[in-house]
Amino acid sequence: MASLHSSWSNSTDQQLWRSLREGDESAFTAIFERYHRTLYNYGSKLVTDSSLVEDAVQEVFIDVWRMRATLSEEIGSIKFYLYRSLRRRIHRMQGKYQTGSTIDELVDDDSTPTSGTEETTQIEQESRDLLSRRIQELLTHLPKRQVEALTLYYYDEFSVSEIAQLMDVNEKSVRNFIHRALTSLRQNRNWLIGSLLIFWLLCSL
Amino acid sequence: MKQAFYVLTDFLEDPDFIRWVKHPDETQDAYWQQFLDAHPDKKPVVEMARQYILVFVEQTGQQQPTAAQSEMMRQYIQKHVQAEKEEKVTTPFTRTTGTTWGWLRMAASITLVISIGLGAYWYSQTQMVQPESYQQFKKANLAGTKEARNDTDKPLTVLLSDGSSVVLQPGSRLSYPDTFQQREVYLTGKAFFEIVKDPARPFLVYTHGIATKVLGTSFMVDAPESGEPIKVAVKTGRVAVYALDESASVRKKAADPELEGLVLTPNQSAEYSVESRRLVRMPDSGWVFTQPETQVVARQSFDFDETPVPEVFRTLEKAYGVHIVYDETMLGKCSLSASLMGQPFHDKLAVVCKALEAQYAIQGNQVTITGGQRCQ
Repeated sequence: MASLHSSWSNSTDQQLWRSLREGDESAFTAIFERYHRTLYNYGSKLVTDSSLVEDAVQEVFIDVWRMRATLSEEIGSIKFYLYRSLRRRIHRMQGKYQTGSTIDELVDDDSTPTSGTEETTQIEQESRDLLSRRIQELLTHLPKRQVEALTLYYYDEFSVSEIAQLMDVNEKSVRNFIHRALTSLRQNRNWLIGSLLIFWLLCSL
Repeated sequence: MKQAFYVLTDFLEDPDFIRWVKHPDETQDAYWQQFLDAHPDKKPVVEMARQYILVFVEQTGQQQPTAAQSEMMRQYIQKHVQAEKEEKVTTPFTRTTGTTWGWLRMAASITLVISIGLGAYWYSQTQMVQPESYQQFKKANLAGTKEARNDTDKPLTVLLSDGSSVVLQPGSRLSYPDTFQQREVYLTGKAFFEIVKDPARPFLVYTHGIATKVLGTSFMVDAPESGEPIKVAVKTGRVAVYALDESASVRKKAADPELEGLVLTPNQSAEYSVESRRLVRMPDSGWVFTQPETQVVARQSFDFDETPVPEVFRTLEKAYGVHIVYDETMLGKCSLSASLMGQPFHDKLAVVCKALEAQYAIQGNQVTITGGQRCQ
């Protein structure tokens, strides 16, 4: 790939896409540099094998280059296009959808989420550090699809409707994934504060 | 105003709120300031929600590739883009020789090869369709991939950048990188490989459906485009044979030293059925090496005992399909004792020349021997 063309840094997706379709290699490079890191991050939420994620990310970009002439003229968001390609590719590479867990999650997708109005009245200020550790801990225990939805919503800033299309579910399910994740976060909070306190006490002995 | 009832989760799920936390600007600052002025009791919730979102962003965005991983992906894609360009201007390839650089590397590896002296014989067949293992090879080695093709009726020797040599039989072809990053080649047809020992960098030979890993040895491959079962037979040394599935990560699996394939030792062979995709070990396959149709370089033991130099050179000429030019009046009466089985062509020449105190140079398929001491 040609070295990064500095003039691309302020270009819109639309400009990059048009140049890519015309076979401009520097536009292709700019797209790679702009999106491959977050794409890889997303892939890591779908599958834990990092070499599989690498392979999939590479293949997505190679496909984009290979298919450049046949890509549709209008692109809403290059990022969305890449994410959708990556998700499909990873699922293909894994062979089958991992049934079982996916079905379990799908069963109550459309149920109404528990209301968020029973919010505790007292808001304790948690230290940023404690909160980080708590959320980190939580993310390792949440179902994969909830983590995926959280990533797409908070980190990648996709809209609920985009996430629904990416994850191949309806918008209500996406809201439920996020809401459930947030609810588990609230529920595990006291337990975690307790265990950290014990840890701290033991350490200070 | 609905916001009056906002609780933590509501803030956390509000895309406008998230946008403000992540990318604050004056307009949004003004809006949320106004909201807080109207609802001062919400200040702690807002601050907490802000913290939560920042932590979510931090924690869900943590699995980015390392700089090294990015570079690997960048290079892999670059190779592919590069190769696509090269495919459009295909140049017919006839013959390749070692570069100066290759010679230097070879010199460094000679002692190792001689002391180990591995040798293997590899016999295999592939089918006509573009095999998936070839696609894997191409994908991984696209920068400067060359194809050596033997359209003659004599053996053709290909010298690889790591000092290894491959003797291609008529009608066979070998794809290989100009310079090796990974030592990986792809063969269609029949060839005898003599590989420089380098445990840190296994040498992988792909044919349709299987990959064979060697750490440093010599072996022959026969892969006619007929779709018959693939056969791998080992003369000396050790190789591991892997059946390839369609996973893109097979290359990595075969390169993994922890993963053992079907290990073949001398006089063993393996047969791979293209149809059933099964790899089976065949013991007692030594007979393969005495068959008249087996190529000379594979049958040959290269075991010289007080052998006249002209005969040594004739043996090398026949085995490698080269022409050796030397001063007969000087070296014609010399004789040589050496066991050269399993060594790459470069190394054989180096050993012979060292014994004769001569030098050698390869140009095309001609080897020129200069210097040396006259024998009476």
